[in-house]
Amino acid sequence: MTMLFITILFVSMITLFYYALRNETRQRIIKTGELNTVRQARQIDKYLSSGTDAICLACYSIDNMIREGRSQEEIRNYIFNQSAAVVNITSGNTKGLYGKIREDYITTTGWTPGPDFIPEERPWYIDARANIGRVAVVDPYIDANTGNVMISLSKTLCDAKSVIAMDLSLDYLQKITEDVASYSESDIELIIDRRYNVIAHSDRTQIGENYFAETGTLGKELVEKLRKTDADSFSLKYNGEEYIVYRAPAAEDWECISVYNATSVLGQMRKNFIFVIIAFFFVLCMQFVMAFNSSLETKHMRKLESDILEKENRIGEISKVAFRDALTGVGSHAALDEMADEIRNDIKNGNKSIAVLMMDINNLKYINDTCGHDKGDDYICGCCKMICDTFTHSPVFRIGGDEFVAVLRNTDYDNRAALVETLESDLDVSYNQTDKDPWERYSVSVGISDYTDGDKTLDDILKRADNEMYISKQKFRKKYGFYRKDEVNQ
Amino acid sequence: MSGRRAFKLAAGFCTAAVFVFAGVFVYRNTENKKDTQDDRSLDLVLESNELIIGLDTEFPPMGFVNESGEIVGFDIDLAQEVCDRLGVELVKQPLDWDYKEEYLYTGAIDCIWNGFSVTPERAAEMNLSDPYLKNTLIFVVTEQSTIKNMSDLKGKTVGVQSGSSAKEALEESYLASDINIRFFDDNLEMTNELKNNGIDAAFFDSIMAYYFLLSDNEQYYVLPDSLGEEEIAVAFRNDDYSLRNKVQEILYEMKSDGTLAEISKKWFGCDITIVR
Repeated sequence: MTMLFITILFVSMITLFYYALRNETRQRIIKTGELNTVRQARQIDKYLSSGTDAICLACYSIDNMIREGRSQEEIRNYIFNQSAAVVNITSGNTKGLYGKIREDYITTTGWTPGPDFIPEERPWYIDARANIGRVAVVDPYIDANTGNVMISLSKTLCDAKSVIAMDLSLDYLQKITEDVASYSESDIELIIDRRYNVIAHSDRTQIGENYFAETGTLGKELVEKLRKTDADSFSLKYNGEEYIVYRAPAAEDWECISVYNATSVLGQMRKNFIFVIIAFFFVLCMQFVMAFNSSLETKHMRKLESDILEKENRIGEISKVAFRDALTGVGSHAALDEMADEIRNDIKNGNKSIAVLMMDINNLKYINDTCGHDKGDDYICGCCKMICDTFTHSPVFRIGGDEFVAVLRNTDYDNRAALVETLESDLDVSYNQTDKDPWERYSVSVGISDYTDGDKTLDDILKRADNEMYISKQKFRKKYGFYRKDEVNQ
Repeated sequence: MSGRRAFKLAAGFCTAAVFVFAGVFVYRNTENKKDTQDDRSLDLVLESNELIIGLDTEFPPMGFVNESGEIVGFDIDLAQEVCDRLGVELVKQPLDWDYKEEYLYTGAIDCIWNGFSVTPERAAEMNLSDPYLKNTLIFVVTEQSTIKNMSDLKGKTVGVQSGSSAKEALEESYLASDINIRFFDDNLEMTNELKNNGIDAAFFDSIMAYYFLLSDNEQYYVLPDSLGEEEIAVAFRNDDYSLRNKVQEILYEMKSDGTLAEISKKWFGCDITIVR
């Protein structure tokens, strides 16, 4: 859970940081673009207005002359005079005024129209008529002689039939554009008119192209994006390259556009970002693998621990009430049953060095009847103690009121003969202490049997031991007879 | 205790970061989207199978009745092409220009499409398309008139169409206090009055003037000054985004495939449209 939080935190921090940085870079590029294009747009406005002002001024005077009914000759003279002034004002960027005044075509540019020239069919005339009241800016064309982009500025006169016009070279705007391109960081600088004709371009060969009519070019993509958004700046993807575009509106719905190829800058940034993310996930994976491994180890350890615990529990269980004889503290019958399972396994595993002792206390009933059960209990405990003191390494069980079982393995098994002998002689000594009370003269009949081939369970051995014990009891009775009253009474 | 607090703090911070993160993405994705949900305007037009445009039938060459009694014009051709592309019938509903907003808002028409000039007030109360034409407000006088520029208009009677943006521009201009303004229900009535010397000057759109000055045999004069330029757009009800956006999209297409330029050439001799 904590891991997940840290992951989310880290990834979101990095991503936020990346976007912030990306935005910052974009903003910086846009700002540079903004400065350039806005400055450029202002120059376009100034340049175009010098042309439109000249037309308007001429228009005003000619309108007056028409309204005053001046002769065609007077108007022609005025246009020629005015034209010289206009050429001067525009530093030679126009060759002079021309137009259709009332019935005549008048030109000051020195160009002689051919016989099939019809002024009413020229774009400057048609556009001016469709834009009564303002100066029309006619689609640019390229002057065949100079290679410069030219536009026509024209305006309808007051009679709504006459039109005055002049052509303006846009070479000045091209120079501005090339200038901006040379000192700015942008990759492309261009000016387009409202019909997406290229007026000026940092790459001269693009001048006069109409991006709108193209298909699949960067110019076309640019135009489509310009049409769809009102934003001053936007991103543009073309041919796997990423561009940042800034635009500024100029007069006549022209636009100054700065295009910056941000592929390398933003691409590098993106690469770094992806690298960091991948590196992070790599480290995370490593951590997971390590955590997984260590959790495997822990699992293993846990299993060991639980095994040990289980064993301990089992040992502990023997000491539980059910497995312990309440009177003597040795194992109960239930404990012997548990032991029987273990013995069965031992036999199965080939561990066959097992001997079983069956022991029966003599004279218990007599003592109980004559001395009371308390003394009988003392008697049982005393006998038990002697058994336990002899077989110190073996479990002893009390399986009936006067019956005990001992299971001999390991060292006790090896020394069984000697141990049994010791026990029997000790018992003999004890029983022959005739000066003591009967319940302090311990006597037990002992039968022993080893494991022999074919035995499968403890019971099989126990049966033989029981037989042995019975024989031993017979001997005891032969030797001492039943408990003698006289001895008790002594 | 402090560990738990630190954990809570970290968790809180993470959650905040995730929200900011999500916020940035949602913002980026919805930036350019206009709310077109819950707006059935386009569906309604498509279901009824007709687009009803409201127009002043006395506004040549945008929309007017020709000799054979049909309503024709630049705007009619434009609307017809849009309807063809939408696959619906074009219904031309003549309006009393003074009550055009009421027609629109009572649902009698789907849009006002008839040389409708953009003003800040109109842009606020209606949903306008992008402008598709430019227009200049000019004064026209008769051949005999001695009025040569705007300062000569002092004390004279100037005609203007009531309910038009030209009327608003005239009333708001510095001339307003020095001239008598006469209102006309439509432009044809006004030009007739000018012919009959009932008014000294007519104040109207250059688009209208283009048609009027070129189709009339009499000589008229345009004053060299104007009261500025206007843009023309289609007006929809304020909430009708889906219809407005669809019509706009079709106008973009018509610009792309040259249909717009063709229609403009038919009525004005050249392409004077300003659709992007």
